Amino acid sequence: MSFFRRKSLFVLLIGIICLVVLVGYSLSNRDQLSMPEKFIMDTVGLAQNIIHQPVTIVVNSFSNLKEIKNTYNENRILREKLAEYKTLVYEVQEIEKENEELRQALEIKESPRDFEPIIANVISRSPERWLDQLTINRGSNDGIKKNMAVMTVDGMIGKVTSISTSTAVVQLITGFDQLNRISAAVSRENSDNIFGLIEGYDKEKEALIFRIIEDSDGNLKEGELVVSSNMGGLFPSGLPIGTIKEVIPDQYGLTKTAYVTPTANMYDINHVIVVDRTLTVDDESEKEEVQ
Amino acid sequence: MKRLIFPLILFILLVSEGVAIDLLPSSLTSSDTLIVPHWVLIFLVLINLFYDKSDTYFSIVYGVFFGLLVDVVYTGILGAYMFVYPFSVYIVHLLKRFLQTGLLMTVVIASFCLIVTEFLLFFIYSIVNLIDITFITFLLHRMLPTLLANILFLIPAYLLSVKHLGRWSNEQLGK
Repeated sequence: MSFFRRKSLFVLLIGIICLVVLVGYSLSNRDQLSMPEKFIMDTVGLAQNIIHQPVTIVVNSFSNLKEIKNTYNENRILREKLAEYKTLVYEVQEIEKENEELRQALEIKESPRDFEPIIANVISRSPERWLDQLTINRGSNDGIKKNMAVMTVDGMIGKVTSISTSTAVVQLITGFDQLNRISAAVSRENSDNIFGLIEGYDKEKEALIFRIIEDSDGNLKEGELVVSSNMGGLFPSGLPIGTIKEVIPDQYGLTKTAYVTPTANMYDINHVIVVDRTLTVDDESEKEEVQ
Repeated sequence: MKRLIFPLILFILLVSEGVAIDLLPSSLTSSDTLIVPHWVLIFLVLINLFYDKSDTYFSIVYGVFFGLLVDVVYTGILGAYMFVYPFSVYIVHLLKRFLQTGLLMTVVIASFCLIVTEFLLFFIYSIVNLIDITFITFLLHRMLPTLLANILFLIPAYLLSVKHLGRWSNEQLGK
């Protein structure tokens, strides 16, 4: 009996040592996943792809039935909007053309706004809900790289944290901590834009924490749109992130913090767009940003 | 073929855990309550109770392996589930001797196992600063809903699998 006790204690100790070593290893700042991890992610990703498709078809057909009820009203509203859009499209075309001409005159080739979209499907969401991660069915084979921004049609939802050959893991902005900041801006027509950092997510207020670094006039109003800025060097500028919910001064009264409600729905994500920045950044500055 | 059946079932459960969150209505998933499916663990408990003898440790070996898979695929923090799953299954293994089996008893043992698992995960993730929540919010918003949802999964899983597990266990004895 005493031998058995000693044996199980021994196994437990080895287990704890393994735990500490492995957790330490995975929390260290590693650039890439190890080969076995990539292999496992690809295999599970394949199985998830197979299971996910029939499931989504069933779920979608149910929600479609619900939506049919509202179709008439929606149709009417959309028609009104469409009429507005027609004039808008013409205006945008004109402005784009003018913009391009001016760019050529100034010999600027790439703008921080340009990006190549890579369309992907969400194949699973991490059951460990504290981490807020998604897996998408595109990987390094499709040109996805670490730290690319990920958005839905409504706005930005997160960034790519790890990739295997055919899947990639996306960290949602609701799960960001202080090490993963996003530079963001509120655009102003007459004066300079207001810049700041998205520093994390407040679970109680259900809003992102947006710290304004510049003490520009800072007269943020509720409902103003916060977009990503290219100052961080990672994301293209102009991706919508959220709308301002509330502005409060910080504890020393020197800077201001705003709470931002994300425009994208973080819980109902099916199709995402991975943003491949066309503006090339040299790797060194990218690394600095990560650290 | 016989040897493959448990890994296969566990693998399917592992994969569907990730898809299951999508299935739930978004009103449930978007609120404060966090429901975490621990289906792999539930099935490990069933294997332990009805397949493993007192001197075989299949469920614990599977626990190490599939815990590691959960870590790699869903969290990226290796080691946490890999340690917690076999540990709590081993506690079930110790408890098994003193209790007789039945649906009610299985529910009690599995609940205990889930509570141990959740506590350990909360403990580990708090230590590495991955989460920053108070103990009370953890209890109310994560432990309770998770416990209830997994018991809901346990009852059909028990009814479907208990006969097969018992039969296979006897075959194992006959060998």
